[in-house]
Amino acid sequence: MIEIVRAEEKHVADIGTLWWEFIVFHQNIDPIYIFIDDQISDYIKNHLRRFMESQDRLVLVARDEQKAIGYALAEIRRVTPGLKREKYGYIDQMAVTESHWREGAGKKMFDEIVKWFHLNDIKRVELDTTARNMVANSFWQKQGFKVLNYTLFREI
Amino acid sequence: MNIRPIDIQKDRQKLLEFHCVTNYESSDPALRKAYTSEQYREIWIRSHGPEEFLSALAKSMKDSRTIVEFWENGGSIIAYVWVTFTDWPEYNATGAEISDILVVPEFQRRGIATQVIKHVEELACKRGATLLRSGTGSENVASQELHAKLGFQTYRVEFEKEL
Repeated sequence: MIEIVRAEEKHVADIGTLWWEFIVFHQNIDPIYIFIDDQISDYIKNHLRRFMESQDRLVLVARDEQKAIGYALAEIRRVTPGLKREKYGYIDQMAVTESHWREGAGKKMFDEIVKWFHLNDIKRVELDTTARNMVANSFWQKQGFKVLNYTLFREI
Repeated sequence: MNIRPIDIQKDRQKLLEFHCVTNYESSDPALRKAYTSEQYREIWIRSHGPEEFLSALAKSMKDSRTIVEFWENGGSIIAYVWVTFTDWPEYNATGAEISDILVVPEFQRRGIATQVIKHVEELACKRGATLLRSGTGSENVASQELHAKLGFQTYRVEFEKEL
C-alpha cells in the first residue's frame, strides 16, 4: 500500500538517492544532461534543505512498506503584485523509482500537492519537463496539463 | 541598420517598455485573456517588476560577455535583445541564453529576428559559449518556426494547469 507523507529529516538520505536515480535517468534520455560525479550532498544542501525549511514549499515522500519509492517538491511562486492572481503553484520535481512505476505513486503525490495548493488559495500550477521524457510528458498530460512554453537550445 | 549597446539610464523607458512586452507575450494564456497588454503594462509599471528587471539587467552587464543591444533603422529602435551567459565549470561548458528578444510590430515578418539571432549566435560563440538557449510560447507558431529554421531543438517543455 503506497502512502504519501510529508518529508522529515529521516527521509533526506532516501530523497537524495531517488534524486540521483532521477538525474541518471535524464542523462540516459538526453545527452545534454551531463553529470560528472555524484552530487547528492550538494543537492541536499543547496536545494532539498531550502525546500524543507520554507513555509511556501512542500516536500512529499511516497512510501511502500516504509520504503521511500518516490518524492516530490512543490512551491508557491509570486508574480507581479496587482494582478488578480498574485501567486501560482510550481512543481519543482517529482520522481518515482522505476521499479514502482505504474502503481499510482505519482498520481497520489500530485493529488496531495493539489490539496496543499488549494489550502494556499492557488488556482494555477506550472511545471517543466525534459522534452524527451515521454513518461513524464504523458503522465502530466493525463493529469490535465497543457503545454505553455518550450525551451530550446542550439549547439554553436 | 545600426546596432548599438544600451545605456540603462538613457534607455530606461524603452527598456522597460520592451521588457514589459516580452513579459506579457511570454505569460500564460489566462493572464493574456484577463488583461490587454496595455492593462498589464499599467499594473507592471507600478509594481516592483521594473526595478527588479533593471537591477537584473545591471547585474548581468557586469559580465562583459552579456549582450544588450538596440537595433536601429533611420534613427528608430526596431529590435531589442538581451543575452546572458552562464558557466558550467563542472561540465567545461558555457551557455548563452536569449532572455529577451523583441522586434517592433512594424518591422516584424521582415527577417529581423533571424538576423538578430544569427548575430547573437556569432557573438556568443566568440565569447566562449557552446550552447545558445532560447524560449517560445506553445501558441507562438511564428517563433517556433523561426527557431526550427535556425536549428534549435526543444529540450524542456513547460506545462500548466488551472486547478
